[in-house]
Amino acid sequence: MRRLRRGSTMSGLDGWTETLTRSLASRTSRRSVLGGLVGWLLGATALPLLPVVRGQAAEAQGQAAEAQGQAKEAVNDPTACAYWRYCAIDGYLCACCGGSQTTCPPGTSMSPITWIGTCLNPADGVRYVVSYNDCCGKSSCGRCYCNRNEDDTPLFQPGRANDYNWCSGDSQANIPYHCSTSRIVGSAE
Amino acid sequence: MKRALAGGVLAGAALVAGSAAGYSPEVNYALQCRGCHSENGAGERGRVPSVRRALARLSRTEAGRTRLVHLPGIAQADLSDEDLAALLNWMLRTLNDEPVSHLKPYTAVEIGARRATRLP
Repeated sequence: MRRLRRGSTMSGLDGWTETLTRSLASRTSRRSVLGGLVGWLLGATALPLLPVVRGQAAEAQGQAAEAQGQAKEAVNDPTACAYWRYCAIDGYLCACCGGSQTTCPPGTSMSPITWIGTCLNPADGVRYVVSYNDCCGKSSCGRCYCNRNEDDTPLFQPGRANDYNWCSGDSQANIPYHCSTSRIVGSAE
Repeated sequence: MKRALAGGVLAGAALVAGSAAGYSPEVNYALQCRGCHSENGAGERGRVPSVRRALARLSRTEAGRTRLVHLPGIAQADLSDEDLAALLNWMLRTLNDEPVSHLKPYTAVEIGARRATRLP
């Protein structure tokens, strides 16, 4: 190659590669190359165990569950995100997880600390005060994820933000979030 | 009538801004306080303080009344001076275990002045 096209770009590339390879071979041992390779392989297999990657996987799972929930467009279906009471919900529907829109599934308990908002009932045109009590005690339900967030504020306005884990705290310490209910606590009018 | 008129004009803006304007003190308590302080104001032992005695006790002194409107939950609540005054008076009547007959009710003017006062 070098003899055929001396001075061309190709032979220059050949020469550069040869120099690089020879200098690499003279500076490194087979053992060090093998050691580095093994390090990379171990690192690559350990990467999915990091919490960041697991978080992304959980998010992807959540998005799939969200699509599942939103597919059911029904204002009066407690297992659909479009259900009128869920206008500010952010979580898995207990109605899809063995409970109902107002009760927790077996094996979980309702957090007394909660996020409260209002939703308009299209049936009577009245705005109701709705309490989104979380059910705690089992890991995330994973079914019917809904995220509508009406009247939710960003976390830098914490007074009206719903992005907290309402299962955390003293009496429910380290108890995982399972799903969310939506309980009418009164009329807003 | 005036209230109804204002409500009609502001309805569109309120829907967009999610403002608490126009709600009764009871509904404002539900939206701004009840989630943590619970339905009767007793809170939850070890997690959320009760308002049933603290509110009246703070309301007895000048320093206490100023401190009250600067408490995080109250300072960050999306309430006008009028709505906050009405809410506090409603809570003193409804969610309270202390004698309050001698207490001066809150007014919008007082709330505005105390909100503008920096804590020492």
